[in-house]
Amino acid sequence: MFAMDAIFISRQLSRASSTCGSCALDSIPSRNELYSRGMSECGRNSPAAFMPLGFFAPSIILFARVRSVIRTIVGKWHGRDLRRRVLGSIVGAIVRATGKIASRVTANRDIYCHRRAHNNPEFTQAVDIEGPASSLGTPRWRGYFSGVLIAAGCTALAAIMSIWFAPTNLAMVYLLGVVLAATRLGRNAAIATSVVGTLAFDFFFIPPIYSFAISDTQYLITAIVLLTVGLVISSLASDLRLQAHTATLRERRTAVLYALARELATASSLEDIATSSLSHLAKIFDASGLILLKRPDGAMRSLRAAGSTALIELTDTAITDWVFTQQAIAGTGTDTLPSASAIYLPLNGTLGKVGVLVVHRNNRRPPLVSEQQRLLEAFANQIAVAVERDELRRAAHSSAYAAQEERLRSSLLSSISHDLRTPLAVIGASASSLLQGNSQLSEGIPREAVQTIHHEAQQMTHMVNKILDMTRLEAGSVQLDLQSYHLEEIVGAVLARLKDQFGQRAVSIEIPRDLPMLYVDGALFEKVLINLLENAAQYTPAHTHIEVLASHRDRQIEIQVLDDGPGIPEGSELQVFAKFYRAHAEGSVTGTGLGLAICSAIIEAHGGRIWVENRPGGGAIFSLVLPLKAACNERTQCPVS
Amino acid sequence: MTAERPAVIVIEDEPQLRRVLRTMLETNGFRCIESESARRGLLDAKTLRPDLILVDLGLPDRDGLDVIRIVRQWSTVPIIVLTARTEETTKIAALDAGADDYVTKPFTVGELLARLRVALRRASDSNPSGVIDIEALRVDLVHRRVYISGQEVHLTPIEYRLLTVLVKNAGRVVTYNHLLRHVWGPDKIEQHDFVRTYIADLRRKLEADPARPAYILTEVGVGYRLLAPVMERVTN
Repeated sequence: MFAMDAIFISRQLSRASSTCGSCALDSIPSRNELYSRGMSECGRNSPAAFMPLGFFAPSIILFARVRSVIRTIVGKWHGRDLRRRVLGSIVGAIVRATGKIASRVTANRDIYCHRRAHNNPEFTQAVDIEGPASSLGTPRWRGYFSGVLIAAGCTALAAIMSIWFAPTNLAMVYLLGVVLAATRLGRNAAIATSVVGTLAFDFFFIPPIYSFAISDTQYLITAIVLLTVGLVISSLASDLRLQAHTATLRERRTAVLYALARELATASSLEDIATSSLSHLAKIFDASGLILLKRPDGAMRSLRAAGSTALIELTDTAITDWVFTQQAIAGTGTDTLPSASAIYLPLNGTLGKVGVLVVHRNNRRPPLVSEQQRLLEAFANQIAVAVERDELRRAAHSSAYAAQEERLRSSLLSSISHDLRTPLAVIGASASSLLQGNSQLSEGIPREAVQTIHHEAQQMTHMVNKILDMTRLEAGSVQLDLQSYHLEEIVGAVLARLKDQFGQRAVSIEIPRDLPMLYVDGALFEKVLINLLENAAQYTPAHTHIEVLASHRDRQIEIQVLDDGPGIPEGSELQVFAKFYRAHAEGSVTGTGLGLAICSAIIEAHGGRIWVENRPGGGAIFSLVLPLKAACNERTQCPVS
Repeated sequence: MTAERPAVIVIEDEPQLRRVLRTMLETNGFRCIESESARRGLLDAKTLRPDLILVDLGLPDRDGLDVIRIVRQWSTVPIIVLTARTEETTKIAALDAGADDYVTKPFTVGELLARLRVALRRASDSNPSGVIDIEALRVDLVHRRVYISGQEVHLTPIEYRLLTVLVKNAGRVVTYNHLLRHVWGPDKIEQHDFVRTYIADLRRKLEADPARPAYILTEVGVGYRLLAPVMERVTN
């Protein structure tokens, strides 16, 4: 909820110029000028509200209280106003009632404009665009003419009634006519009815009959009261009509905005926002719109690409930039660059500038009047808030993602820091012991310390390589260099590489001669086998047996690594492929907990599958399937079917 | 004696690693010239006429691959690449740029010295002829015959050509592209499946257990390396 600094109260609906003003204006300011002056007086972030003076003082005061208004500026009309004389000044009432709220009364300089309020062409347009034109806009002569007709009707009715009633009572018929004219036809008709009716009453029913002369003073009072009451009623009733009309307009505006807001609330993407807001814009203003959003790189981008190329060409980037930086409306019908072909509205969200809404009205449409401009501004606000909300939603999403990444990173860090610090500590200790015993070096290097350093350094290299592998795979920067390989060849290379770790361990390999070539990234697939065999060697006793089996069927190659060690804990068949998972948390086995995660990532990148199960007789079976290459040439030994 | 020791230029920006390499080389009969940048290394290579260049691929001032290409414009001096990167493409790029071999960091003394000796031998005798013995494998390049433990093995012409390319580069990694170019000609480049299939056939004829090759070793994703002849190997 914002605190409002000022209400500008306007007698008119559409323009604040005639009865409302800020301080000491030399000329009649336009509403926007007034608005911006009011804004600059009150500070940018404290909006002002314009209210038509058709409202009664109590409602204005209520509004001011509810919105915590700081200052009220009321235009005071210096013309003759019967109503003011009768009911008291609204301005005076406001000044009396607002008390703490500083009121400022400004003299009105344009009475004519005020008097024309109801027939103001701008006003009719405002009505026109928002609903069917009402009789409010009917020409003046028609009002007077219908007023005369009603007076004539009243006279006819009174003539019939005069048979039974006294002439004084017949005045009531005319009052009825005035009420009818005021509520149905407007002020002009009501005034015509009062005046003509009074004259007709005088002429036809007050003795001497058929003369305007009044013989009895009693009837003179009747006639004067009739005229006065008629005029008061016409004024009051027409104000009521005005208020009803204002309410209708507001209700329509609210309905339009509500419809837009409801659609924007369900919009799940920027495209949705663009589509629904632009379709509403087209429906209500008969205009095509363009939403330009400021991107982080500073460029303005159109939100809706399809079909908007013509609009983008019509859009003036200089105006767009000006509107964005100044946060002020510009273009057709506004005070800035009114000759421009479109209206440019700033999209200002609650957190800052979002972009610019460009509205191109369709051909031969008159420029927007203030009431429509206000609606358009409300539209722009809705769009800005929707866009902002979408951005926030995305930011929230990405921050949730970042938090998840962060958790993973910290678990990686804690895992790595332990695993890397241990060998480093050992290396450091061994090296320092060598340094300490420098004098004894000539008698023979303490071989054990050097061996320890060597071993631990290897361990660390091993670990760092795995971490790097995993990081590369996760970063998605790995491009598969798919080629055809013989499984036998890769297994051979792996065994050669693991020679030191396997030592005298028995590894049996059974690869059928007719096994099709694997279609893999050789270096990555080698890593899979290295990790699987290493894993088997690490987690099983040295005397146990490891087997590598391969088979193919249904255009798939299945490779299995079997061991007869302890197997994996029941229920952790999926977890073993997760990062940093270790089946045996404490124990002599050192590892990063990354090996199987790397395997799984590589196999998935190849479109294959990897899983583990326990062997019935004890031990684990790691199985993986890989799809065959779609087509194989004659030299790559396709399976003979 | 000092004059006869082969000179090795070490182009490496990390002083710690340079120090270790110096110790390794000096204690094993090499003379070590340290260059801390590509620019300095190129200058040394031109003026000092080394017997071998050891170059790190990750240099601060210039890509190590550029160093290889520039040196190859005017010299056939053996170049061995030191790389921390495990990507196979980098290794292949270095080999195709003209490097003789590569050593992946971290390396052992044995590994490094073996590569150095193979490269130096090839530089002095780039076209081996006659009879080459690698453990039980004997390749008679004069009579075009191949024996395993004294038993003659019958190879197809392509298998024999493949083996001779490997024998001529014994101890050194030979890329798929190199094999394709020298066995099938330049138009079969990039068809690595060809090479793998013929190598598999060759292994079945030469190796006791093709799944555990003793002679033709695989450098997955890069190429093959034939076991170096006995005198070249360093036992460590």
